[in-house]
Amino acid sequence: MAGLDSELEDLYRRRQGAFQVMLASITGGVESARDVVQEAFVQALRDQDGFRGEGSLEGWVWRIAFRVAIGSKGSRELTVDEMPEVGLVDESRDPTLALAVRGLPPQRRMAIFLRYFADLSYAEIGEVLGVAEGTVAATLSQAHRQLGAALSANEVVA
Amino acid sequence: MTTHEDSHFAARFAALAPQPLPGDWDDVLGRAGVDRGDRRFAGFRMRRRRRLLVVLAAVGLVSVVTASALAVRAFVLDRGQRYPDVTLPAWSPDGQRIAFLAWRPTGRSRFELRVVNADGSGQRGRVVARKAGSFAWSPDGRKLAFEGPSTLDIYVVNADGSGQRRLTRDAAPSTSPVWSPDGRRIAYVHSGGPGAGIYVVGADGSGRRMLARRGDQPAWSPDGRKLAFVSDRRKPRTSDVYVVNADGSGLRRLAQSGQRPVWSPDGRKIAFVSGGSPSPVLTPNQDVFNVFTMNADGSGKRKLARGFGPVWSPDGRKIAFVRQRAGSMDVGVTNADGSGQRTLTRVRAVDFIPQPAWSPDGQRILFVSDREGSEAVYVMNADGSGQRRLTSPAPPAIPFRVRCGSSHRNQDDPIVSPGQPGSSHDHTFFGNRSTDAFSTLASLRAGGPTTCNDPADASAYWVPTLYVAGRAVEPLALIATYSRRTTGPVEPFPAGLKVIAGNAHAPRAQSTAVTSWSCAVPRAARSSTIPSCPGTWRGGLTRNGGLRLHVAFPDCWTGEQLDSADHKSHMAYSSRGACPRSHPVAVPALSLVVHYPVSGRRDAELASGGQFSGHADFFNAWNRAALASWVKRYLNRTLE
Repeated sequence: MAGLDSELEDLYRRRQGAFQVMLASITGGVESARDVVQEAFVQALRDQDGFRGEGSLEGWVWRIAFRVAIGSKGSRELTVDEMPEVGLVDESRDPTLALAVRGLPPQRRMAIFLRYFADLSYAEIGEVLGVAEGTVAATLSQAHRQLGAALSANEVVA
Repeated sequence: MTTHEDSHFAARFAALAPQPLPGDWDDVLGRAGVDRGDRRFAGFRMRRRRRLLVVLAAVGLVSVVTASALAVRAFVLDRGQRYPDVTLPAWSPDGQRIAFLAWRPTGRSRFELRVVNADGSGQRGRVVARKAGSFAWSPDGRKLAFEGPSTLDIYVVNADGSGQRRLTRDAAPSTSPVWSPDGRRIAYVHSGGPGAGIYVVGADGSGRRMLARRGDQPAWSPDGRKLAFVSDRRKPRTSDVYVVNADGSGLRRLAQSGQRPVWSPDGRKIAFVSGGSPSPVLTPNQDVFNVFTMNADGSGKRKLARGFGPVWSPDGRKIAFVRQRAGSMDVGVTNADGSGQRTLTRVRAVDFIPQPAWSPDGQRILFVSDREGSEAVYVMNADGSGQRRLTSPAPPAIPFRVRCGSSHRNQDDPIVSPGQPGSSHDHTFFGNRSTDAFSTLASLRAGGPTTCNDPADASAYWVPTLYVAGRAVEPLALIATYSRRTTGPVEPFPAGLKVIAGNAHAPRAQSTAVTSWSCAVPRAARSSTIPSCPGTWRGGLTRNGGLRLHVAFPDCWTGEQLDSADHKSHMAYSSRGACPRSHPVAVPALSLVVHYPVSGRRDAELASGGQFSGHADFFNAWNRAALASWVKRYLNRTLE
């Protein structure tokens, strides 16, 4: 193997923590998330032809990682409807926020987690989800509003 | 593109995000089957990983095809992984002794290879190797081959622990030794790199050669002419059963999707296991496995029973195995044709594996049980009667951890300066969100949600604030580890205990056993001064690297005062596993690790002054029942 090896290695070294944090919200724990991340990079190493250079390398690996996380076979990319459900967090650490997050519809929740757990830019989120950057901005803006409302409601009571 | 909402939510989500685990690129390469070129480095990393896998394989008696990284996960209790207290009990060929691996959770945790008498005398047994993985008796019962101790290589040692010899010296791991029936050769697994495969070496270390590439779990035929093994050579992440002649010729696949082949005593049949989930994580207490038999040529496959870990009776008429039922495991037995299945034990194991082993005379079966409190090796008659314990149940204390985010900062100190707000150097608090100069046990208990991941821990933990270039650093997290350093059981911390560890006024380096700095990297050295650490941060999360402050609290208490004038002398450190007479009550050894998202520089210093003044305060406000429960389940896993 040659080609993308060093780019993938660099990506892994820089970003495997963020991959773990994001995927832990799907798998329920960092241990299983680390396993998924490693497997995603293994598949990326093996299937380098699958990266057609149309988007960023990282976006491609994210899509592989989601596929691995839900145990999908083969190398077909997931459709929007097949995206995994995110949101498994340790609620005790910020119960109000956890509750507010749970109230988000799946796509907004996915966007929010990609923004803050995966630490992706709006453009990168758009690439991972296969939507335009403007759509990401709109989704996040709605999510922010909904979260803000839920948080202020809960925190006033608390 | 960012918005102002972004920064607000980013901070809150950072608090919600779990701490990622370190991840090695070499592990990815290992899984992908790529040789890194830099063999020494890769081998080193591979070793650590393989060690874990071997340990876990030993737990599961299920396959670990290392080359393809079909990992077996340890059982997960409520928090963290646990290792079995005892595992892999094996009779000596004369049936007089039993070797097994005993987990040593204290210090540098490891498995010890021990040998005990099969008649139940000498239950503690003799330590044959201080650090070992899987092992095998020599056919004459005089030696044991094992993997270890400090590197994953094959060693041979006399059964009394003398004469240890290393047979292999490889960059990549060599594991899972098995003796040939004539005792002259040892087959083993070599993993990692292009040389991965099943090897055979003379028992004196001579004449090493590869028999088959990419393999695991070798098993000699009783006549010593063949080896059965598993391999993923057909397709990555699969495990098929193969057989090969002992000279490396005549390789053929016997079964697709099988693991752990075991020859019948007459060499005419092979038992094996199939099943488990296709995911890399196998959980023997959840995944369904089945025991199969087939003829030695691969014909006549037959499913016998639900379970795994088959062992033939010496007359070849029965098979004992780990029977899976309703999420728990017991020792089952079946006739070799699948008839007459029975459960012999009532272990109902969920977090360890009973692991049957048949005595050479066929009269008795070893197994692992925890019915007296912690796991030990037991023996019973082959019909399940007369069960008794053979090994003293180890009292392994398993540390438990609490992770707490930093809650707030102020210049208060409810231990040193109660009732005097603003009179202290700047403190960074963790756990209880309400801690201030007026905190009492009652106020802490009423203090609302804790920043710790265990809601029962309302304790206040604090350290002097770290400054870099004059700016306060907000830590990523505090990890509080509760372990046991004394040989006897410990009492939970008394409610309201206040204690300080380390010297806030230290003019020079303190003992690194009490407080030290390190980088958040594998195998980091501890130092008295702040090291320079690697690390990159984005969005407030650490990846690899960063700085850590370590503080270890004393683990012995007078049993009387909850505090003392200097906030220290009511507590003392244990020595050689015992508490001093002045402080007779053993309590958990609490050690704190504060993780900072900084690389550590010369201009870093603590609010208490310089880099040597590391210390920490603990004000116990745990929910009493919860702490008592953790202490009992994790730290006092004793018989009494």
